[in-house]
Amino acid sequence: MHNASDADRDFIAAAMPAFISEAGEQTEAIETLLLELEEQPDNRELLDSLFRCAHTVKGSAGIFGLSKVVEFTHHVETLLDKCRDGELALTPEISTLLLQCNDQIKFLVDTASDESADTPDLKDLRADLVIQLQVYTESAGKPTQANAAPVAAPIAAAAGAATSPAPSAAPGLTLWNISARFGQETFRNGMDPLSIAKYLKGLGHIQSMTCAIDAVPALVNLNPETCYLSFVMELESAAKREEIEGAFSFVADDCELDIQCPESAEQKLVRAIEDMPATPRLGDMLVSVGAVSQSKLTEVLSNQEQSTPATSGQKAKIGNLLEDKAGVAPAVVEAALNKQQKAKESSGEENRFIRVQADRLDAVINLLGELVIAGAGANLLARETRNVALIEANLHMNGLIEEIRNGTLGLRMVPVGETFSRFRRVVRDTAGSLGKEVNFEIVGGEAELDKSMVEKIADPLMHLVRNSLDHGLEPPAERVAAGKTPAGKLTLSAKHETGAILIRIEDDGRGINRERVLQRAWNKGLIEQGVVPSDDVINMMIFEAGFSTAEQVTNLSGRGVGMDVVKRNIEALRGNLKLNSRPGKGLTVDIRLPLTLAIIDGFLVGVGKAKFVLPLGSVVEVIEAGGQHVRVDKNGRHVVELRGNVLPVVRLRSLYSVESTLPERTSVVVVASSKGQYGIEVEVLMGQQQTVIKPLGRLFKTLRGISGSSILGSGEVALILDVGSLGDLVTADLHSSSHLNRTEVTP
Amino acid sequence: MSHAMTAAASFLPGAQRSLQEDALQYLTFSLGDEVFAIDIRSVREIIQHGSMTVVPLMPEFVRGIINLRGAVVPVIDLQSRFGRPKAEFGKKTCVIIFDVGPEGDKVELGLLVDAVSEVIDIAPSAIEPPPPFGTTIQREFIRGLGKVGSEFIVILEPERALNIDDMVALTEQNLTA
Amino acid sequence: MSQAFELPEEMNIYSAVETRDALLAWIAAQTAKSDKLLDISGAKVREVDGSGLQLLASLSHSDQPWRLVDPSDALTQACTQLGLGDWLAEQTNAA
Repeated sequence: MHNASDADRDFIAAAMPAFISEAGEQTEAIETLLLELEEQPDNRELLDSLFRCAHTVKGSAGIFGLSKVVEFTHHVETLLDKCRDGELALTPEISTLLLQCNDQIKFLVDTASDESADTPDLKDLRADLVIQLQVYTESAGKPTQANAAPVAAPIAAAAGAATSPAPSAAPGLTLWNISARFGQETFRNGMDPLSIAKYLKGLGHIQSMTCAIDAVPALVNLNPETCYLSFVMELESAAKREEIEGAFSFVADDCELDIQCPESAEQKLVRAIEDMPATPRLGDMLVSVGAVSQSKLTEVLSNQEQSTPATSGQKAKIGNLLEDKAGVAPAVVEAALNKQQKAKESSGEENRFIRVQADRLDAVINLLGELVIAGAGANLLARETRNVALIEANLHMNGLIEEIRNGTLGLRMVPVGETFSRFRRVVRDTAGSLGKEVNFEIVGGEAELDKSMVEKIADPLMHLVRNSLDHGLEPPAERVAAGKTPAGKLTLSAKHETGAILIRIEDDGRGINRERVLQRAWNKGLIEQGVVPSDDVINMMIFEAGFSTAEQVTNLSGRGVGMDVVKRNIEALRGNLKLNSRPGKGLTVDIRLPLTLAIIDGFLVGVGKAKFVLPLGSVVEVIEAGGQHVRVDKNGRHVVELRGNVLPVVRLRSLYSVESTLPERTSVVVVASSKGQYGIEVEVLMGQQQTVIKPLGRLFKTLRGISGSSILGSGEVALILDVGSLGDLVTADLHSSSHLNRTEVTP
Repeated sequence: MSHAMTAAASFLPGAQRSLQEDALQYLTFSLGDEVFAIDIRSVREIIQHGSMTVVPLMPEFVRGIINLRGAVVPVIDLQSRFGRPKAEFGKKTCVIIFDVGPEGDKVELGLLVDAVSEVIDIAPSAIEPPPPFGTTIQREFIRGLGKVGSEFIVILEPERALNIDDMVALTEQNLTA
Repeated sequence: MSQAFELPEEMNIYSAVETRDALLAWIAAQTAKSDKLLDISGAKVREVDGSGLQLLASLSHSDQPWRLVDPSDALTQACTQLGLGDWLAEQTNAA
């Protein structure tokens, strides 16, 4: 029973999700960088970042023993190295290849724990990609061969670029001598020298490899489960020592391992500095690695005070002094300076973020929600005591509680730009496959939205973007004929309004074909034949189920199943949709969403003994009780007149069959829904309240007109009215006015 | 504030005794004159009936929703669910808070009953399947008839009597009717 | 004319003991009949790991002269990867 490797395995299992998540961030970053680089292929910083991302993925994968990821990513990394050194230009073809490779890296990472997910086809695909990568890598630095056709030449042939005689490494690579004598328990611990050998192969090029079998006893004496093998190899690799040692981490305990590389003394010092833990002081670093003696350092430091050049008032730099006076090689000083710099950067970087589990945050937010309710309850009791000091103390406390709650809700806010950036790739690929040219711009990506809402809005947004690409934007020829630029413009923007966020998808394409949509709506019976409603109503028809005017149903959208789902998803987030179509000029889709789903700014009303909450954002106006405003028109509908306009009215009392005595006076709250304004007749107005939303649960999912419940400070449960679907019921009112008249007498 | 008084089911008479080894414990309650039993393992607590918020447009068996320490729980009127006239509130009316549904997707419901009696043990061998006819409630809602002394008590099958999907379907019918 | 011992499809830690026992039994039977060169066939081998290769290596330290016939691609590849390429060549060409 070998406890160390058991512990290793447990560690791996526990840490795997974090690895997958962080590696996922790296691959996303790679994609974003690649797309940015398409606009500016020479940007050294971006190329550097790109290399580092790939390098990070490879390194972490190595720690987890994920040899497939390491091997594949290694080839990508090699090519990226050439790019950042300026030896290879990042052409669109290479960019496309790298995007495909990144997809594979992502796939391999995601399926790291599931061996069965990988298919022979994918393995072939990756092998093919590797060949293409190698071709480009080899052509780097050789301008005449830039466009060589893919050839199955293994990387070994590239050694021709090296100028030093064999057996030593090509520039940038080190030749490692690795000798490993495996312990007897190796097989029993589940390890295999053969897989370690294969893994090492993935780190570079094996110049020679020999396995020693002299310790293996004769068959009749052999215990097949005991390991008697050892091997010696020469590995030419860009990998660092830790990476190579990493290959042996699971057998390290009972394996005799020796890794050597012929290094100059200077290289050894540089390597020693890199291996050191972060030390802020240059001098200390150099002393620790033995680049300079402590006494010499002290000498140089005391001279530093005196070595101030006469011309400037600044102290001479330690590094320079050590080079000049103590004979420390410049390369060593540079390594130490780099280390210092990295240490500064990483401590700044690491401290900026803390990774938090989403469900723990939700638990805290729930508790805070209850705290708000409890605080409101305490407030009510305090008021009853009429003790001024107590009331004030309570108000103060409630104020603090609300601040904490708002701050905590704010923790869940993420910039929408992260999600928007994912669309770049889709737009690029989709436009390409449709033969359209598109300039895709993202504006206001820093605007923040609740994390769960961002996740839920991503699909509807994607659909709308695809709709613009598919139906809105015209092919280049058609655009030119219409006097437009051949490339269409598609803008995805986000902006904050009070308590809400406005997400806008704007294109400069054809706009909505009003006539065709109207005809279609007539054909489908969505609008009565011959009736021509307003442009707004016609435009919104495209969101009706089963609707599509596309002549050919394309793969992406236009099958009619998408747009109604888009609308429903947005409404489920308590958002609303508005279209602005300019025929021939373009289409703007506006989506307004509340900032969070957890709390609601509400307007509390009462009908009988029941209390209801209206979303404050939907309330337009309140007509206070002062007489009977609501009357019955000639069609039997209940309506109210407001400054010359006649609005339909929902009478909550009768609609919901509320039991209690009829009041003398009622008020009407005028609300706005996507279909227009209407009034809601209520009995008591109780003012604004910010309350916590409690979803009603599955049992109530078919309920119309109600979107959730809310627990008030008194402990009572109030129902939250859904202004949109309540408005639909008004239309239903029209057809069942007889049902309304049974309870009351109308004036 | 809320008028709820909670009483953990385990403090009811009989809960601590478990005469036979394989007997399961059931909570018995009455609806009108009849006594029913329900598996105690899914009972969370029993509360006095208090203020309930009516949810409009729901079928009669959904009497309303209550605030249970910050969670909103729907209350089902069992009489109404079994197709009888809805329950009248009496002195002993209470609400049994109950878990129903598949593992990982459990829903909390409140069951409105006329009175709660005691916890009893019934061995599996003492349970007979419901007769093909003559039951006072729908046969599918009955898990079995438990013999207690000289009488039979109807043991409910909550996964069918309180099946959320069934109730949602009924709600939908009610709305479009 | 002489039969060959067919190495199994899976030459790995899971079948190591079984394969060793089978080999020993077969060798004992063969040497009882004659003392010709023993043929071990690697044609069927699909999966190999270090322990499988070790098994073969241990044959080399046994008294019986033997040679490897028809090594499968999988077997050849594994030998090369572990650094037993030369050894394999020797064994296949043993006369």
